[in-house]
Amino acid sequence: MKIKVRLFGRYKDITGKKELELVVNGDTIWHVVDAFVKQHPAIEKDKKFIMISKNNTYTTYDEKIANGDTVTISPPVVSGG
Amino acid sequence: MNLNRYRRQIIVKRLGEKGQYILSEKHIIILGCGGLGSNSANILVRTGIGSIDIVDDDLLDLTNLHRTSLFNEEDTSKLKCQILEEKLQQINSEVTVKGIKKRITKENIESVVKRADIIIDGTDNMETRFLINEVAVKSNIPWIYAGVHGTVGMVMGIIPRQTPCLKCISQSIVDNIEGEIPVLGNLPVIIASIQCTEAMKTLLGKQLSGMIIYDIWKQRFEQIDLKRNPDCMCCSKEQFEFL
Repeated sequence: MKIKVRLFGRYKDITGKKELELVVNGDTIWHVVDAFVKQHPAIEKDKKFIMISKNNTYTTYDEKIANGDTVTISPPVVSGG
Repeated sequence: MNLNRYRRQIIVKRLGEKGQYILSEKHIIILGCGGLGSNSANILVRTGIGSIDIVDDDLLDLTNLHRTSLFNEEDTSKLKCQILEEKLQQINSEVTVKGIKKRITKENIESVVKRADIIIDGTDNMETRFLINEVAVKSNIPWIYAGVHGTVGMVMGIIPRQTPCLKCISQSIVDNIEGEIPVLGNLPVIIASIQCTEAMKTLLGKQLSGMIIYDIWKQRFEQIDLKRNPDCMCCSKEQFEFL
């Protein structure tokens, strides 16, 4: 299925886009993240920590997705003080 | 309270005299006083908050100076919370400032924050932030997350059961694979300033701005305004794994 993805932070720099469309082979948020990371291996280390939402609500990786959903992908929270 | 002292901010309509009085009655706890916590303490004392506890058990190191504002070379090897108490009390004697030498643990955090109207995050690791998140949700105390890394800072005000909590947005603790966290020296004061604005808005009952991401190098400011995770283990199901 095709999922619209909104990007924030350095993910905009990596892709050069604010939004993109991903073809996802699976029906969970995890499959969206996996597809995104496969296209951009440089962020592999972020994979478990990416901030994600579905249709403007924060969610978890096992959340189901459907055609037409919008997923937001943001870099992990930063920890320095 | 000497209102004349705050004249220039009282004429800001979003605050006003009423807002200044509200702030003067509030008690803030700042956990950690490195780049973020010490700059936030400085801002909030000058703003005229009623009382502020600054909790930290570290000694000032020379490597703290590049990203802080109040510490001097002669302060190195002294307790950061005590230095701040002394200096900030001289800056604004109307604010009660207390430095508390304590390392935050799951055993003591509830007693440390119990009187707080809001908690300001000045910590430097995610484990402690998840602990703060849980105690904030459990005790129904708002808190303002902030973090910095390289040229990027993030801030998010969290009002338990009203706005997303830290666990809503981050299910796992981010690995620090780099060891020492890089921070451009002029970033924390800006992120602390954003953090304090979100704190003031919270105390005044105003709407918060969601997750804020600021890249000081690219001069890029982003806001992500999202809803709570309805299945959040912390703020929805109240299952506390760190407390």
